Amino acid sequence: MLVLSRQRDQTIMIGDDIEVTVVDIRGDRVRLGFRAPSEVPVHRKEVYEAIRRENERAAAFRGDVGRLPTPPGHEGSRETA
Amino acid sequence: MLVHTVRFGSVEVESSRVLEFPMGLPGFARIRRLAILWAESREVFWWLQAIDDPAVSFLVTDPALWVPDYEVTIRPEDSIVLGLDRSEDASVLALVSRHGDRLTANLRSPLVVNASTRRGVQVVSAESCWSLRHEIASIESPALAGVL
Repeated sequence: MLVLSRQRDQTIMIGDDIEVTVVDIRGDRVRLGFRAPSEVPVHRKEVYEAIRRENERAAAFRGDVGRLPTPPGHEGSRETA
Repeated sequence: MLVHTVRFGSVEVESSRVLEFPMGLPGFARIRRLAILWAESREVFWWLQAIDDPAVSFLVTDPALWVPDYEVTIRPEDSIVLGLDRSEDASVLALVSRHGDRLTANLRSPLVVNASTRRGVQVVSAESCWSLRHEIASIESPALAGVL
C-alpha cells in the first residue's frame, strides 16, 4: 500500500481525473473530499461491503421456496407458463 | 438476442429488455448488462439475468408492492449516469434473497433504472433507513403455506 502524508487542503491525484482532498482533520477523524467522474463509484468501504455481501447472497438464491409469494392485497396468485 | 443462462438454458431476449449498468453492481463489477426475464409470478417478481455470465442471475421485485410508503433518494451523480431528467422515468427494483426461512428484499440498496435509456445503477446509501434484509415473506407464512 502506498502511504503518503498530506496536510489540510492538500490533494492527491489518482490517474488523470480523480482527486482526493483532505478537507479537515479533528482528533482521530479526517474529512476527505472526492472529485471523480460520475461513473466512478466512491463509497465508504463498510457500506459497500455490506451491499456486496447481500448481492452475493441474492445471486446464490435459486428460487428455492416452491412458489413465489404475492404481496398482501395483491390480487390472487399469478401463475404463468 | 440469444442469452445463455445456467438457470433457464438459452433464451431469446429482445434488446428492449436489456438493461445496462455502467458501474456494475458491488461484488459484480464486471457485469454490465442484465436481461429482464419473467419470473413465475408476473408483475411481482422478475429475474435479471447477466448476459455476460450465464451463472449470474438475480430475483428482483418492486419494493412498492410490499412497502406502500417506500421511497428512495437518487443522488445527483447517479442521475447523471442514468441520464435521468424526470423522476417519473425511474423504476425501482429490489434484489431478493433467502435468509433461513425468510425471503428478504434489499430495500436499502435498490436498483434504479431509467426506463427510457434502460440504464441502471445500484443505490449505495449509508443514510437509508430501509433494511438490507427487509422480510417480504416467511416460509412459515400463509403466503407460502401449501406451496412447498
